[in-house]
Amino acid sequence: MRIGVVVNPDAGLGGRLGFKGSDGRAKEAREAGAVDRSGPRMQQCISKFLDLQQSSLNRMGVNPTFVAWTGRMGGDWLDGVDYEQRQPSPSESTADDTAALVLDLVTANVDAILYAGGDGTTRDIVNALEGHETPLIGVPAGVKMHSGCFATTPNAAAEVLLAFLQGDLMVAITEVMDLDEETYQRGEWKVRMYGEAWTPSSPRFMQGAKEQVERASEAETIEGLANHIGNLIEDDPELMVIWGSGGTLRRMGEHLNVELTLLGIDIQHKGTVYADLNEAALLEHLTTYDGPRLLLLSPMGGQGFLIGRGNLQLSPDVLRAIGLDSILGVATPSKLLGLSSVRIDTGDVTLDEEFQQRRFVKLLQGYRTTRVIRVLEA
Amino acid sequence: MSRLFDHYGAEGKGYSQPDALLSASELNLPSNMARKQLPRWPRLSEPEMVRHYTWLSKRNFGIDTGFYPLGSCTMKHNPRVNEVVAQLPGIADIHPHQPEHQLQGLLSIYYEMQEMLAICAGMDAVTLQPVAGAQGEFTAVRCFQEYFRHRGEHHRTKVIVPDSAHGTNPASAAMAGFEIIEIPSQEDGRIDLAALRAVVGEDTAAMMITNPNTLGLFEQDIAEASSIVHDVGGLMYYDGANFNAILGRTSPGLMGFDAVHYNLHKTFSQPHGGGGPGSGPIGVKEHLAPFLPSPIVDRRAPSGEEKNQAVDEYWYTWHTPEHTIGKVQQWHGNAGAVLRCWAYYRRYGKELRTMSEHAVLNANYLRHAIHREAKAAGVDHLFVDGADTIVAKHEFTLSLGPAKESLGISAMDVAKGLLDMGYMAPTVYFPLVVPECMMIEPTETESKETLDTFAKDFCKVLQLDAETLHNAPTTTPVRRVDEVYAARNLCLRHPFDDE
Repeated sequence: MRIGVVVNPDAGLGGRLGFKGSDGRAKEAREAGAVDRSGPRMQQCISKFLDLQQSSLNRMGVNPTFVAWTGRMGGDWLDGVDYEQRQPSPSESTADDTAALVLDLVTANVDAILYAGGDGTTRDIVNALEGHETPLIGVPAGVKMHSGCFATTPNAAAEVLLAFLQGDLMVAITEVMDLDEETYQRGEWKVRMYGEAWTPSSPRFMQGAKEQVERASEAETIEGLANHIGNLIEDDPELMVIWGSGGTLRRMGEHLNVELTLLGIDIQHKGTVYADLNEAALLEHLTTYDGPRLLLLSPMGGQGFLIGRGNLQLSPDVLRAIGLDSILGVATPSKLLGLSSVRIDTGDVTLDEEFQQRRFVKLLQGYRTTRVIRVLEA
Repeated sequence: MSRLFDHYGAEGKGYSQPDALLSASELNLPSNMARKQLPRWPRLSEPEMVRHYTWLSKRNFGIDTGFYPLGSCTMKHNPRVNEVVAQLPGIADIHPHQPEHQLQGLLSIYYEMQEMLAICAGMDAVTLQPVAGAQGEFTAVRCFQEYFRHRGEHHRTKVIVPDSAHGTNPASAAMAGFEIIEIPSQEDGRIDLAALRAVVGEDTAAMMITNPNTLGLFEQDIAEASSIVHDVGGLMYYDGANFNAILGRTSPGLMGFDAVHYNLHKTFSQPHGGGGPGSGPIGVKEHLAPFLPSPIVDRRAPSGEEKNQAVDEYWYTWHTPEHTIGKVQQWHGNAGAVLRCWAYYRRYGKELRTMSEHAVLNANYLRHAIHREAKAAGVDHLFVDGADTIVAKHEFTLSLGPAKESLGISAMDVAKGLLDMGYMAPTVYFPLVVPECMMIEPTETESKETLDTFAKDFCKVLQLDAETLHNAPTTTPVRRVDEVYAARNLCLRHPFDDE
């Protein structure tokens, strides 16, 4: 296996100085006394990985080839690793350099990318990948780390890498999240989804009471979820399905031959899809039709926000027009792992209270299988 | 390692098959189904064969070899008197096609077993047909389905299971065509009534639950849960996997359940299946009795010639319930399993309550002994109780989470270390709600000495270093198996050297 290494050497510099991120402010931060954070964190991860590789936990004897640029965006932090050298890093780097490095690694046919950075770095990598499904393993090193591809610590990232190389983890879709710059300008701290990435996250095998059970892959699960919704529409052709954003829902749509937007809200009704609707358009659809409707939402990121991350179109008025009984969460088992409750932040206190009074929301987790999950109190 | 199929000795050695009654052409087999070449049967003499199986049996580990605290499986001793009864020639040589008047003895045993099982679970009718607990579950939810169809309640399509349920519960319900709704447990592992209330409705068909639950805790709110489900017109299903903990103390019937399955091998005694003949009878309340699979055994006063053939004052007959769901098993279930269990039940009778109390006592004693020994050995910081409770039932859970975090020792490592100490490992990673879970069930048939020694040995394992434990077991015939590799690279036939 070939593992590409990406270090954004400027990531995390702004943290101690109270910046909301380090993009474009590296020089300023260094002058103010900030020290390298990202590189040393990658160093720590690699050192842990080499330890694990020598231990009995490496039962398959994996020995990956690391692929990196020499210098500050890679090689400088790969102590004791005989890596495949591509080209030298520039002495000062920007998002464009991160993108160039990622594209170079894709050309070099890496099987996964181990990177150190924050939310901004993740967005740069995902944008550069442009749909390549190369799994990402993030060494947390930035100011903000909302995206689902981050391991909790550099050591944890090393463990994830070893498990992935041994084939114990399946890759699953996760959201790439970052601060919503628009709302931040207005003084609010809101996180929204910017894209999606693949990351090794879900154990391939579940230890049951008496045996090891191979779990359905992400693709099979999504097919099951899609068939469930497909059956609901077959049973009631009048049913209006309002699709929320996110990769899980979009892939379900693919199975049903419905083209959905990744980040927008789409309505599917009587065979027609109305894509990427804004609040006014959503209300228009919802008020001119009073039959059955179903809003599908996927919990976002590690904090499990079902409502309140990104989709400003899903305003309190829209949610009321849909009706609280017509909301169904959708989550794959990899999402449900470690998700014991969901958060709801509609932006309307009364509506939030209504959700909390119900205490539970329904999540579809497989074909004809639903789970109820607690709504976290505000 | 000696492999049976490698013994491909000289022609003529070993057991000679009699000539076939029909030749291949007389059989008229389609050509694509006929063998292209002769099978490579091993050619072994009788002593070679005996040695092979004796060698295999010596590599095996079972309840007859040592302590077997496999949680949730209730690995208790099987009294040998069961075997004596099951192998009485008048019973063992019966053919299932024999007519009723030749089977009066067996049918009377079946009838008595139905009655005894009904009494201990507080049910009204029992079928002995299902041959495994999971088949019992499926049979019961099919009865539920017919019951609702009969009442015109076709809209009842949802079955509720707690997230700590045995995996077979949702699987059985899904197989019968129900939709599954999973509800989260409370933090203490018990049923969350608020979550239950949030999901019940007119589409609710049933709730399936074990009590005590998989954490070994008694569900104190079970009566309330039953009435929540009954109030919306649903039915309650009792998974009998943990019945061993409460036998004679209370019953599923008293808790409000409408149906129950019995794992005869767990609650009573009969060798555990391992894919072999098992038995999972179900009991139901009166309103579900007409839907039971056929046949069950009924009795009436004998008439005419029957009076001479009767074994007691009744005449026993196979009976088809009025709205039966049909047959779920050929013939009459696994008679051998039923007979062993009947022998056991007859041997203990009301003393079954004491048996159950000892199962609970042993589990609680072992839990405290492990904590006591861990403190003495200075390893009590490496695990915590899986459930916060003063008294567990017949089994308890420990979480090796702290050992995993501080030393990188997982529940699996400790389990493998216990194999080296000469024990069967407890169940690991179940229930899923407890991290690094180890589930321990000593059963009532173990002595205090065994429990004390196990507690000490458990702590000895925890004193080993991580590297040793990652490599355990080292003393077993087969070292640590790479389960992931095995599950992914199935080897289903013997690989001959020349292939």
